[in-house]
Amino acid sequence: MTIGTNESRRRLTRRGFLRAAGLGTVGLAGAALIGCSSSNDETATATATSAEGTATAAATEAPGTPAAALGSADVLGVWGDEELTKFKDMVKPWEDQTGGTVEFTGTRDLTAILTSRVEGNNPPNIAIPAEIGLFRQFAAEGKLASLADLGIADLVQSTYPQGFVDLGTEGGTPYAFFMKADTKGTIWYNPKVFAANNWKPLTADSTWDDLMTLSTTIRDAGMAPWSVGIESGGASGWPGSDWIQQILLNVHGAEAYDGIISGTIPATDTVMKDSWEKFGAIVLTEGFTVQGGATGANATGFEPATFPPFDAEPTAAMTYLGGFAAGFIKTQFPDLVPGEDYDFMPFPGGGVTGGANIVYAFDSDETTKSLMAYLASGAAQQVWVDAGGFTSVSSDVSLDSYPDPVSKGLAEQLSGAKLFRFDLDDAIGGDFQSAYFTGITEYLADPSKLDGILEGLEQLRVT
Amino acid sequence: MIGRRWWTPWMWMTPALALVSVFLVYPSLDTLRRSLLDERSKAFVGLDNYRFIVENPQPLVADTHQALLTNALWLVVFTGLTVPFGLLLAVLTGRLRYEAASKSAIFIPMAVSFVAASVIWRFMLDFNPDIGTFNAIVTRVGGDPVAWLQDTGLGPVGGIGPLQLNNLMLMLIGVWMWTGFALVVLSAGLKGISSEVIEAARVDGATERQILFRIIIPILRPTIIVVTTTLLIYAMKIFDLVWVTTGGRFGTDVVSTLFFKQAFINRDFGVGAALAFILLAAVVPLMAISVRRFQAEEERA
Amino acid sequence: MTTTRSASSGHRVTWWQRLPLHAVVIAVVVLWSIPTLGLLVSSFREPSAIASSGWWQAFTHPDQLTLANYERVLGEQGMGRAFVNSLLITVPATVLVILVAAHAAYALAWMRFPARGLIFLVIVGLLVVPLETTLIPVLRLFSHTTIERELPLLGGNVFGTASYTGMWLAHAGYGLPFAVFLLRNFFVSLPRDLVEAAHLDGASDLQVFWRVILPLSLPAIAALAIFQFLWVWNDLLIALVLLGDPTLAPMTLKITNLVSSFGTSYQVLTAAAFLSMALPLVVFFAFQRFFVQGMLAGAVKG
Repeated sequence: MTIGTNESRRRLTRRGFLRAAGLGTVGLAGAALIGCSSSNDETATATATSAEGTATAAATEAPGTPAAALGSADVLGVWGDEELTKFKDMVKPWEDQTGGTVEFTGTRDLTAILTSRVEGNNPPNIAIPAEIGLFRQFAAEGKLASLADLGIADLVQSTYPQGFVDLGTEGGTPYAFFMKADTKGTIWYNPKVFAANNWKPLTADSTWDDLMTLSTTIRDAGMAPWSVGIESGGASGWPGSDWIQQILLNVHGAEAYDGIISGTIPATDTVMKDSWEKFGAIVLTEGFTVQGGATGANATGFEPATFPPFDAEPTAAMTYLGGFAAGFIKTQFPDLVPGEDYDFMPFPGGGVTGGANIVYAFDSDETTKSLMAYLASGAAQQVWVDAGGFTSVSSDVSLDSYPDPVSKGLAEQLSGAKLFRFDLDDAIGGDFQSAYFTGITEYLADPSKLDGILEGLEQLRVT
Repeated sequence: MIGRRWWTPWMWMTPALALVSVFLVYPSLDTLRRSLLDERSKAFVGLDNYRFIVENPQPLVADTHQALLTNALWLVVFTGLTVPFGLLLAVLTGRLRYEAASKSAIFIPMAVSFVAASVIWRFMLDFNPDIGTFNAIVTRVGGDPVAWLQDTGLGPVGGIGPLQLNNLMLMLIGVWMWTGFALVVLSAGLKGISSEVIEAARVDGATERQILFRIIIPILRPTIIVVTTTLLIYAMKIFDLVWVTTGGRFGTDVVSTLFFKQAFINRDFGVGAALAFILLAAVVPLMAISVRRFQAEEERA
Repeated sequence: MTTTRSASSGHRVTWWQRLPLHAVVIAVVVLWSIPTLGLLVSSFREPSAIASSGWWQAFTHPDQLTLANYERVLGEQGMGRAFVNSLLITVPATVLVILVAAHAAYALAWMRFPARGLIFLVIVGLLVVPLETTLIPVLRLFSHTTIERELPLLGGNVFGTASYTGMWLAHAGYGLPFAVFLLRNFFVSLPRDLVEAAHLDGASDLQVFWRVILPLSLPAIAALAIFQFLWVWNDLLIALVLLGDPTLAPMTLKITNLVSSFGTSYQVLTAAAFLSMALPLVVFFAFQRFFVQGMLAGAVKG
């Protein structure tokens, strides 16, 4: 068996090989030097700015300005793209003032990465995830620095609503505070379309029946009343969970809601079953959704599902999603005017569920303490509020500072809700949450399986 | 032979053995250890985790049966398509002047990262016919849009176990990515077949098909086995593609994605480790087959 | 009627008899390239366009096209450094795995020692270990062995978490099974007489390795280099978990920072994918001619 042209291969001698390797290494070293020098330039500029910054201690009074320049803080979070840009703008004053740097890594697989790094003994300084399941475990295992350790216990206690303070407390000790809150009690609609057809938007005092009546009216007038999409990669089903918890809170009340979270009411109870079925009615009733039934809902992403009411030729009247939908609509349709072309109506019943990013720290060294104090302050959050797309729960941020009527409305809904509860599946977390989402997609595909699904969920609560 | 000290081979092997022990063997042993402990790896629970996998009591959270079956389907479909496809393309492109160009075009998907591949295939398979290429074609010929990545059945009919439309689509993406690999390897092997043999067969009146099956494939057997082995093992631990595209939702879970969810999201290291260990153990029969081949080779040498 | 000599035989075929061959291959190539083309086209579109219409519509609406996505990715703060980081991680990892695997493969192919068959099979069998299972144990190990001193010239720690050395060793370790598989099979196929003649001339193992085996094996090594390069360059998970220091982050990591927490920044992902693909493709085309011959003997002998 011939191995081909031995001759030609031998021409590539060792000398040639080494020469290529040598060139490669030189090129690599050169690139490294260039890379190093450019990053040295960045550090040089930063030190210069911080020197000036400390002298002009601007309007931002971050509590506890240290004497010496701080090091870098390793922050792990979920934000990317625009959100990350705004976060960076938010921490810039801190960096200028203290000389520290914030190294932010954003990843959607935050839970996995956080778990690995904590298990592997290499946690970040600060974590800003969106769900609190891991937080509870970490706090219970003593891996976190308490707010007292960080020196901000009083700050948080005095400027945050008690509900949020309690949420950030585990075993009696407060460990975390919340930023970037989101309300999930918003139904988005096109005011112009509603006005043109003489449909009345719902109010906080409306009932679920009012919602169904409105939907039927719209359907009979020839437009699909709803746009529903619950696809979201590995977390598909979560928009459905938002629907269900809103229904649970408003139709069945706060006690039912709390009971489900604490486990005193089993997941198989009628309050839960009824909430699921009401959600099912929205998706499965003939002609109710523009995507068309369960297949459409399961296959449409949650972000594209917010578009149909605001297309040039609207194909749906309403879509339900949390406050962050405003961001999607604005990006997709940059010419629309908030409040006139798109607005939200409160979920019937006035009860509001919501979520927020929770912020906690794994250690309490100088840099971490300073950064945590800054992030918790109203001054920091004001920066992001001004940039748009951020709702703060700190009382240091005034309602009037929101840039447009929609964001102001969202903040008002959060702070003024007569009934507020944290997102249900986020509050329970763990494998219950992932089973919950899966269950929703399965329920839509086959509604007769509901009892089995709820039983499966209840089993998870018990174990 | 050459006068060698007994420790010479070991000197040559040491760096490799060291690296492999640290990064592959030690974690595998750690996995075995964790598979016998509870979720937080504190208490000994014996075979409880394995029993969990066998009994599958919580399909909503972790459907172990479905994951195992889906992985088995991957072994069959993914490898079963990629290898013959690669071989066919190797034979066909070998006869063309623009061989290098066509091979490169088919190899390019391998250079694309998994994230990018999943993005583009999401565009291809999107449910909305205005966006999704496949559905655009389907609706243009009068059909209804198909939920390619979410459908747990087979279009109009229900699925049979792991035989679901979305699983098949994921495998299709896998084939798209890895055929280039099979193509290049097999094509190189093809070059080693002397043209006189083929020429002689043609002169004797053999058809192309006979040449393919009676001459090419038998001579290429070792190459085919290498490619098949690599792809089989890859199919066993397939993770990135499934995770980034569907996250294991809608019945597309495989053992690796289930491990990931259990270990890193539900923080149940016990079951996660047991799943991983099953994968490790499953390769042993494959290696056992290789032993025979290896010994045969040893005889020859 | 023109006739052509087919490449692999002297047999005369008419051009129209070869038409089906051309048709099939061209059809396959076109079909194969459609998704990549879609990716390329999408990278030039605005996010609102991507979310509302299919990528093929960009051809009929050329006004939609924009360079904004590329600007966004290239202009991202630290992207240049991230590119360098990717190089700093990938190149040494590739060189390392080749060197280590080549030595081991040589021993496995050309030296007789007890249990060599078993060792070879175990190494190859380790191909099945899923990466994700190794993350926590390795991270633990790294965090216990971290040397906090700064590595001169390159940055990062000398060893452990947040170190380039840690990444090189990890990637080399993960790549070894396939590398040893490939190289050992290739070495076994080289002609014995060459090696024996060298030994008879008095060459030691090292000399035979460097002067005879390696030069002849450049094709296989090129093939291995391409695969390893590709694989390390596109890696995200290992960097996320084991590196833990954003200043050392490779491009893949930087790119995740461009994706919103909802994961739907497709316009950025498409542009980033192409930018990220550029270098590996260059490497592929550069090494290509070795590549084709490369897998050859190693594969044939199996």
